Amino acid sequence: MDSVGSSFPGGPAMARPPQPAPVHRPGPTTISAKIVVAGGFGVGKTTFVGSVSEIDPLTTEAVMTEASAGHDDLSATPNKQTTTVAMDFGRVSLDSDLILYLFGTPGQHRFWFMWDDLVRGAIGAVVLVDTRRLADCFSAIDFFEDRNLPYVVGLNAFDGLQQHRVEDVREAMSIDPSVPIITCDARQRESTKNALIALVQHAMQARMAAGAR
Amino acid sequence: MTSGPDDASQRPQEPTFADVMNGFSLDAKRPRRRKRWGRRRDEDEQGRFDQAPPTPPPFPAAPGAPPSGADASFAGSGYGTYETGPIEPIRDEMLVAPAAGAAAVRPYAWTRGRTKANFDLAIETLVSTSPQGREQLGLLQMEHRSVADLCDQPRSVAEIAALLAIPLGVARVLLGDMAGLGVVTVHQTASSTGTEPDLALMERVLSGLRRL
Repeated sequence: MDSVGSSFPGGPAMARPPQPAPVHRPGPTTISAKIVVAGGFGVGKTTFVGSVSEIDPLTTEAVMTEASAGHDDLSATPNKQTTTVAMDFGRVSLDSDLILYLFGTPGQHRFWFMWDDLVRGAIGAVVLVDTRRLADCFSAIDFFEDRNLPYVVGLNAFDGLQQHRVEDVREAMSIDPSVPIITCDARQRESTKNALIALVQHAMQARMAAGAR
Repeated sequence: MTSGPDDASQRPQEPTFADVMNGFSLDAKRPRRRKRWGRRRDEDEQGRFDQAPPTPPPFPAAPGAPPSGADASFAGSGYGTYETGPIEPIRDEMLVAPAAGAAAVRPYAWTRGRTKANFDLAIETLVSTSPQGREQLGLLQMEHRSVADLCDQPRSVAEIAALLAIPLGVARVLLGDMAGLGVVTVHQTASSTGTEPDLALMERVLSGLRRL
């Protein structure tokens, strides 16, 4: 490794900032974007990601160790020293040089240290809601509002039925009228696609509104 | 009597070829000897000496396996002492290390203990093997090579971590190293230019989604 490094004219690693496709690659400079999919445990995040992803959803793991204990809220599991975080994600090639990644958030609260990573640079988030368990998604919504990340709420229709009206849910969750609430079926590709389109539109509007201010 | 391995090395004096061969073929009849090696893994089985452990002895030709006659005499005389006295303390010491390292190579051994990457790599940042990396594929260290193989087409940091079954942090450090060496190219992300994706890119994502 060292011999390879010394033969490289650029010198030590840290001297080079992350440049867009330095000099080597003649091919396309592929760009990536990401959208976060949040919601409570078992609300259908992975199904949602999988219905539109061109790959089977993959799982990333990050080991949380004692070293991170000071930064992470371990109050829920005081005896846990190390644990493994699972985060599902999928990939959608939107163009020859544009890839969209969909990241499902880790459901457990103690993994919030990963959420910063997830949210940074994201276009926005889809918060999936099971209307029988509204409270499960409050933490996610709080987080996105705190970070000013545009989000839409997707009411996932279990068994193909919507149990509640959209406006009732909005009132029950006291969601700002500017935030779109849509109904979706995470198993249907078209439905997932429409939810993502709604999110990107909402994010663009939010951006333009912020720019106008 | 001293430790097990010492004892094993003291016992034989210049085994003949035939002795060694006997050692192979008669192994199955001497569960006790196997036990001595096998117990590192099967500590619970220490009481059941009659039962051969499922794993073969790591060293089949262990220091000159004695012929069956000598072995039988050993079994008669020395065996009890093995079981009770001197063996126990060794067992505990020997168990500590293998138990701790039993899982696999520790993830951060890949990174020589470093947890910070030299590059700012988001989880969705695309990485692809550079032409230089392809030329030097044979020269790369093993970990870098497996990454370079994967990144023949652009892949995200998260994909690399998932496909290689390594933690995200490890993938970041590895990729940071490789980017520093010029082996891989780090692509732009939506947020490379600032903290938030720009409108033009969002527009492209939107039209891309509509085309799906």
